[in-house]
Amino acid sequence: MIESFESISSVTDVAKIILESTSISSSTPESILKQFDTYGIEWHLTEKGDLFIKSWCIAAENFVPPEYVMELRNISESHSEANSLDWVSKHLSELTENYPGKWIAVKNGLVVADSDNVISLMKQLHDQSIESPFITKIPIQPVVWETTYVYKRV
Amino acid sequence: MFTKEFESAIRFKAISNLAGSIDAYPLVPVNLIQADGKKIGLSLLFDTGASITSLRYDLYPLLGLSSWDVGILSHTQTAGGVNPIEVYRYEGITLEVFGKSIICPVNLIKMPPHPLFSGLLGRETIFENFGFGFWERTRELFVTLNP
Repeated sequence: MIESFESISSVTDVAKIILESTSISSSTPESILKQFDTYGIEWHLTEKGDLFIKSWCIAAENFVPPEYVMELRNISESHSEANSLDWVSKHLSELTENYPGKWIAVKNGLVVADSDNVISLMKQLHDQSIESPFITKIPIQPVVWETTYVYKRV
Repeated sequence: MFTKEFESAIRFKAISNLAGSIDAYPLVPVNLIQADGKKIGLSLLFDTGASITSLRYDLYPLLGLSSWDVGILSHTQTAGGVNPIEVYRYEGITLEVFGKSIICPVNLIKMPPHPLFSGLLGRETIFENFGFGFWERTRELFVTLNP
């Protein structure tokens, strides 16, 4: 069992240790790949059966302060295929402007229905045969929530 | 060696507010599975302070109810609230959380609207099915399906 990444210099080393363990245990390819997943190592199997792993290398230490990391990660996420919650999060100001006080249904990055209430919203979705939408209510005015987890960076 | 491993990490959602600061929320996307098997996606705020999962009262049609206040009545104190408020409990609601279908009780409750979540993900039943870890510094929630 690998105890932590801290004593290991790179992802490649972790992968090497996992693969070497196959010689002393009866690990199956499935369990090895599962271990890679556990440690966040991205892998690819070629048609020939070769195993490739994606390896990160450090480009700059202390590139940004830790409290700034989350904000920058969100910028990065905007380039990936976002789910509906991410989409709503990123388009919040225009949704607040266009749908104040409405329930909205979002599917594939589009508002596919909106209504004052959930019953009418569901009817619209049924009529359009839209399945598995994400729904949420857009407030008329910003609402202040007090939660344990809210973190504020001013 | 005893270890606890997590299969996935959910990043807190960072939202700019009108004051210009950043709020970060541990939001969990769930599917509410209706009686006809159809799924509706909702976002819930991960709330260790809540025992039972709570949804906004006006989502009652999704539970197949004619009104929000026909369940078992109780009163609860909310964080920051002065007076106890009414909640109505409904048993046997199916939620799909992290790909796992769970039958659990759900409260309907009047709560202020928030565009990024429609309720609170509570401990009862839900937490029994998963293991969670918080990495507060990086604003990440770790989840394992095999606690």
